[in-house]
Amino acid sequence: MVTAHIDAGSVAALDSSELTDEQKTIRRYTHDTIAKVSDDVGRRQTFNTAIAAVMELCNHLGRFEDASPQGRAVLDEAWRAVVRLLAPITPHISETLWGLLGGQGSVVSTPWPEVDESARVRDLITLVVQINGKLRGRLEVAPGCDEEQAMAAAMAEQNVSRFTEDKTIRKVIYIQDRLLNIVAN
Amino acid sequence: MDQSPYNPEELEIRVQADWDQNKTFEVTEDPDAEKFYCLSMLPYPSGALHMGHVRNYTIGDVISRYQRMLGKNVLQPMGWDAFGLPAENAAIKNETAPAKWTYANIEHMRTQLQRLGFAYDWSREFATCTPEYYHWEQLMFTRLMKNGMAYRRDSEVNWDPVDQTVLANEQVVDGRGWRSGAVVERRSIPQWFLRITDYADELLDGLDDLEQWPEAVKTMQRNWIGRSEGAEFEMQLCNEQGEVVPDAAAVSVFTTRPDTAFGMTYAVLAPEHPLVSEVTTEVFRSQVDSFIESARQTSEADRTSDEGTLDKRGVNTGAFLFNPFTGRPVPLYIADYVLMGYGTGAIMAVPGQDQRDWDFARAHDLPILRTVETPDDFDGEAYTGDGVAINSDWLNGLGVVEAKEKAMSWLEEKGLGERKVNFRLRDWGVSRQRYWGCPIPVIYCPDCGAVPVPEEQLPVVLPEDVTFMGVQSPIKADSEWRKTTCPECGAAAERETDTFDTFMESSWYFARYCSPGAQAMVDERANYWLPVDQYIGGIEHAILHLMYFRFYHKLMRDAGMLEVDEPVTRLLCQGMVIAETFRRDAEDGGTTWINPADVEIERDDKGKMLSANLISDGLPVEIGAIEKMSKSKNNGVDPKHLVDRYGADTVRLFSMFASPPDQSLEWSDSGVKVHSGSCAVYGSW
Repeated sequence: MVTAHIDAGSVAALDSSELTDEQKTIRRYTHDTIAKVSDDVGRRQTFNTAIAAVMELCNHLGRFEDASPQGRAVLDEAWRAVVRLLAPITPHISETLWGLLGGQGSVVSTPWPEVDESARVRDLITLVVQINGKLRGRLEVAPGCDEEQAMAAAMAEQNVSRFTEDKTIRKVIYIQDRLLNIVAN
Repeated sequence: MDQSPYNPEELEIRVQADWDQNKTFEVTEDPDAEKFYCLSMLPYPSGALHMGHVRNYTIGDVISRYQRMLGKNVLQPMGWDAFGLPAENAAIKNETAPAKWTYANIEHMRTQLQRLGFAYDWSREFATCTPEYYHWEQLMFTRLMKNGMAYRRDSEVNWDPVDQTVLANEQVVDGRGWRSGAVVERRSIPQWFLRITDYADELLDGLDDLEQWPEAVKTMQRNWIGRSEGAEFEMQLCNEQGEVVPDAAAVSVFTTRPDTAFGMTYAVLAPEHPLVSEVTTEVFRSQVDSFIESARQTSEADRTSDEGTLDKRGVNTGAFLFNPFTGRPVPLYIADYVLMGYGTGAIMAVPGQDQRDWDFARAHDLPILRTVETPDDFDGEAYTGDGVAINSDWLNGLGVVEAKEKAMSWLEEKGLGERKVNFRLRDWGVSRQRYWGCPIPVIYCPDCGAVPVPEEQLPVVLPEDVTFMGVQSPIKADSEWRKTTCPECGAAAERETDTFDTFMESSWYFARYCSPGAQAMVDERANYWLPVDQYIGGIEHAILHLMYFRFYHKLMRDAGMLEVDEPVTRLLCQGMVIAETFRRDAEDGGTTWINPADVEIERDDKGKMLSANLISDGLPVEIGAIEKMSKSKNNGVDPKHLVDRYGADTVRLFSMFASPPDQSLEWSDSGVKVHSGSCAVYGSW
């Protein structure tokens, strides 16, 4: 996988302001994985879950086919992270791949990848909508949206609004970025 | 781009050669950089690495390499815990000198470690069996002799009357010498001890600050130290009517439950208690004497175990003690489960509140009296829980805590006893009557007694070119080696021929790694690196090694060598490596264990074993339990074969992926194959 990426040739500089939604998603996977592996290896010392997280990222990368300059740049950032995240566990192959990726010096002394928190921010998050405790829909909303906005978005969804038709809304339970539960009868 | 297939061996050896050439993992002290000291417990050079080593050292290596990528100055050393009994056993079996066997094993195992690509600073490597190492251990001991931390007293050993030698516990099989087959005797001989009990409080309290140690390890250490608060008080010898015998001896007892003293229905002395002979009445003397003789042949471990029927584990002395609480007499027994080394070697027995006392009372037909009210739904025997005092005169109605307090105050007011803290921890016996160990640097002079070897005469070097004649230590068998002169008066004198417990070497090696080449135990560099930031090793070391090295660290601190109080900040105890077992009944009625590599296994979709056949004859074998990899169950996997076949990266990856580090790791060949695939796919060779 790494060599396939290398074989595809040179890589443009990453410009995070110019990314498509799919490219942003790959960057989010990459930086979520860096954060998880750092925590698993450093604090929790659960190396098994760290490896599982890297494998999951590799699966995403394997399915990401985007030969555009920014697509290649996103992928290059991701592979450089993967090689460093695995370097403590599989040092030999990581050392070799690091060299092939054009990494400076030995991977042994290369800084551990840093988390770009801005890459982890999701433009839209999924809000679960329940009517009387039953799942009636999922909404894509901006993170941090307030109850009024969430209700407006929910009522605009036919799947949701048809369950509240002819009913009185008694109570709304809203957990920001997670859940909107409407009690109606 | 080269698309040749993934060839781990070629790739890994090339990368390792680069690390070697660039001395990538050699480090020095850098005051401007944050340091990180990562240490795995050093191996005993048994001959070959096993999977437990691989797992242990991979964990340490992953942590080291991660910390280095965080920009820290990382020290990860490696060495050899090279003294010990297996080398002697191998020497006797193969007629080689233990030193030769040990050094050959080290050579082989070092190659194996290097092939796994661990990021060690090999420039700091040492074997603990070299005089360059144990010199400083001897020097430290002579200083401990001078400040009283090391002392000599009689202690029991296993004596083989045929081979005329002391045997290690492992050399006693079913009570008999492993080679002679003779019934082993218990013998008391003078031995050296270190006063670890002087540090009992600090070793206990320090555990509270070890926030990054597993709770299980700290609990085991707390139990081992076994601090208990209670009272010590005297009971006087009396007659059957409770009349105190004038000028008679008094027996001191320690109890953690003085509140239950009204329920005392008998008292017990250890068989070794100095008053036994004096108090025993003529009627009971012969049974007491024969009981003492049999207790003498029983090891401490057996005496404190719960095995065996209690009617055979104690006898009546015919004497009585005056219970000051009740003003009445209680019969005095001796029993082997009371040890002279704990408390005062005498106990008050309260069957109502102590299960062992209950069992003993039932076996000897002694009365039982409850002094703590049991809950309504209680249907057990002895009751150790909380409750209101009953049958206890002026303690009646009080809870356990209040009753304890009142009983202790009463003893103090009456001048009968005092509050006392007791520890289960015993001083550390460091003498071993073995050859392959560090010689204890002491000279015995007929006039001056035990004299430490002067510093300028150290090290006392253990001769390495020896031949074993039977089991006895060659330096004990050689009448010349011990001959010397007294450093104080110059008279003819003899060297100590015992050697140190090998836990001595592993108690300070972590500090020596920090000071390679120092002409002292350690130098200032140790204070840069210590404490160890991360220590990794097996949970089986929770008590002995991890207690001794905390203690020894404090000795070094108090000798002005080290600054910090504890040797290790964070401890990780990795789980066992386990594997399936296969067996057949052997013709001689025993069991033949068959290595998994020699078995062909058929599995269903879920991986459950359907059948297992021995490859060589195609016939079925019995499927046993999944157990820790061991020689006895022949279920070990040789890391060498795995590395040869799949490469170091794959073996490292699988051993880290298959389970969390503190849990058991079940080895499976199919798992390794999958990960070999992962390594290949990742690179896409």
